[in-house]
Amino acid sequence: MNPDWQTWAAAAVVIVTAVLFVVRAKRKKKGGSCSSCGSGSAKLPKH
Amino acid sequence: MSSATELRDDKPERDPVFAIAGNPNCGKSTIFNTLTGLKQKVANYPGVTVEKREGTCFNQHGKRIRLIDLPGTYSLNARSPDEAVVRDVLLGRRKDTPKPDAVIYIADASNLERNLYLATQVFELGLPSLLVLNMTDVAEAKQWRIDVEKLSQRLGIPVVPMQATAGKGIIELKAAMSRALDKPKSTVLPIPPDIFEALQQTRADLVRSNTVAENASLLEPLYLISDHDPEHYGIADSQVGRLIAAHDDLEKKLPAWEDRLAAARYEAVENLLRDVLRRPERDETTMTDKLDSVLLHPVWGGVCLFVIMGLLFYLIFSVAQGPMDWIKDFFKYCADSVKTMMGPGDLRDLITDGVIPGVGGVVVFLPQILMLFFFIGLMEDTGYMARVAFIMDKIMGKVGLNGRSFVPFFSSYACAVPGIMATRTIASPKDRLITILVTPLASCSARLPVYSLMIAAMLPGGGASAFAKAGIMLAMYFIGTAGAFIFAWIFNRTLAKGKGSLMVLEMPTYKRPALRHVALYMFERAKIFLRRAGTVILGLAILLWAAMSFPRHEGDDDAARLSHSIAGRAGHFIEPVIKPLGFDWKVGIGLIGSFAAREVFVGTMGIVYAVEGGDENTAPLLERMKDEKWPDGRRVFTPLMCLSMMIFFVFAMQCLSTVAVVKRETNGWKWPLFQIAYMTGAAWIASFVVYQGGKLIGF
Repeated sequence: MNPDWQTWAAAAVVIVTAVLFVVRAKRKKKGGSCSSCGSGSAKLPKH
Repeated sequence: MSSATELRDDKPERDPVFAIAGNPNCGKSTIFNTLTGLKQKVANYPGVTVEKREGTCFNQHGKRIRLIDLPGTYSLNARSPDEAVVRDVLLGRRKDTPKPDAVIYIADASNLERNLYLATQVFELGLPSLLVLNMTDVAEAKQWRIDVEKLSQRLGIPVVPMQATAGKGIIELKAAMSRALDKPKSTVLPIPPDIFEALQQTRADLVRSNTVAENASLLEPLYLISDHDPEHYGIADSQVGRLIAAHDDLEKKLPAWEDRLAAARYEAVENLLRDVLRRPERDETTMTDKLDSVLLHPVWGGVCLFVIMGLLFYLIFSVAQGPMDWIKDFFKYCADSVKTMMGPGDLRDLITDGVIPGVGGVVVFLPQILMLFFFIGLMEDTGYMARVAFIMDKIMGKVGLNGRSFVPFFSSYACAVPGIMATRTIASPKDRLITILVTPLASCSARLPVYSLMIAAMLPGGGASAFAKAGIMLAMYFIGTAGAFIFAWIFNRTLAKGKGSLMVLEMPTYKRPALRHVALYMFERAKIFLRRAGTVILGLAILLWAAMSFPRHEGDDDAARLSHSIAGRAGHFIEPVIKPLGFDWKVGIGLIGSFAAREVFVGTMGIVYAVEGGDENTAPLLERMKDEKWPDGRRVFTPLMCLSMMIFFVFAMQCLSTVAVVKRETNGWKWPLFQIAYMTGAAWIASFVVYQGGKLIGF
């Protein structure tokens, strides 16, 4: 195995993960459901 | 032509919409799930559904029907946000929901007086309706005989007896749904003439001022002007003043008109039941009465609760151990296989030092989580959870929490997010806020892996009995609950202004747990837990590995590499703050990760020791923790430090999902930020007291 190849691959995995987190956080700002318990994003009327 | 037929003529393409309404805990969600095949949460205590849920089903002729499952309520005079949802959907005031074409009203057949009160209000709205008498088995056990035919004749609507948990009556219900749309409206129960006249006048005034629509029913203004806190429930600001004025006028004209109207309704229900219900002179002592004489006893009730909880944690430790070892072995096998197949390099390190210890370290606790949810499911399904609330109610009342706080609080032992959403059943804004603020102190399932790891580090070896471990775990749950009560008491006297509200807590009858519900609940939780491990925790493990591995200096050994990494520097940075609690900088890295989600701590510690150990030291996490030492040679993970760590996790706010839902429910950042500050502050102080106090007395 080529160690350089592994370094590039690991870096790519880390960068893709970081991007996915940012995208997810942006999407969550609009929605607001819970990933930990599966609760829906039911919203109250203004109160 | 009925109103429903007219509606179908106007919009022939639209599927008919049925709303499912009724009192809390009468089986609405069970019937909704049976009809739609969905898995909406059900439990044997009131207040589980706080928002409407939608699904579809097909009637006997294959026609599609939209179903809306509504939260349970006792009256259309909404006093809390969940009750306002019912009122607004039935009146067609929700923009996101079509006005229902018909209503399926579910009544508990063993408690008809109370259940039919709301029915009188719902039937008066003029929608085609049908009445379901659920829990007929409980009514039969009480030797009640209901004349279903006569009841149907008197109300002028189809009446369907059912036992939803056993699936009995579903076919009859579907047949009745097909007929309901073509049936005339239900009989309207009498309203006292003077109140009727005054309401007509009020309605006319409100129509003239455009406060209600011209086609509003007589009762619509009634439910809006009876609303004790209308500005909270989606009524436009400009209309609130007019509604309050109309309410005051009506009060002046007819003092106590609301009480008289309620009395008239109860009288009408009593007259109806006199005709259709035959029951023994004196109710027989039921199994529920016999069980409650022990489980709700002032002394034995508390003892039983303690024993049940102790047994729960004992079984969590003893039964789950075998499957946990299998999972541990599986991940070790995976790591060894990767090391055999790949040469040394960063990608291999990412997998064996990041992904496997990070994800595997959390997944290994799946058996314990499943055991916890099995017991929570049993307690909910049998009706025991409501008894727990009753036993705790005295204390909850003293600290300023009312009866309705129990559902949010006890739901939070599973997860704080649905618990916080369940606060919508609380009418008083003050009680609701206090409940939201203290609910995350109930030890949720995400804390379980941390407690388990720390208890295992505290009581090493197989010699420590599962009883001792269960005792420590029980103590953590107790400390969290006591902490919540203490903070509720403080907030009740300092932070929140406003009046509290009273609630009478209705005890559901005990039921044999439907194992299907419990199994479904466990399956759902396992799915959520594994999905989370495969997404958020996997992602965090990858990022944490990178933060612990870079920047890299040539010639560094593995330990120095961790120390110089971004995460290592962050750990060193916070070490002065956490050192008085007994935590070193490596534990600090775990703590930083845990602020995203508590269980990440366990995975992060796995990565810390995997990265630091490199290829030479591949001992399991627990062994590495036991060998961990301060520079002066003292052990880091002493029993006192482990206790301090658990206490920190009892109090600290380490869950981004909870922060997000508190922000949403309180409409701003003020309260979530306050919650983070007070909980983290309390965690630090409590942990400091435990660690330094323990050292002072020689531990």
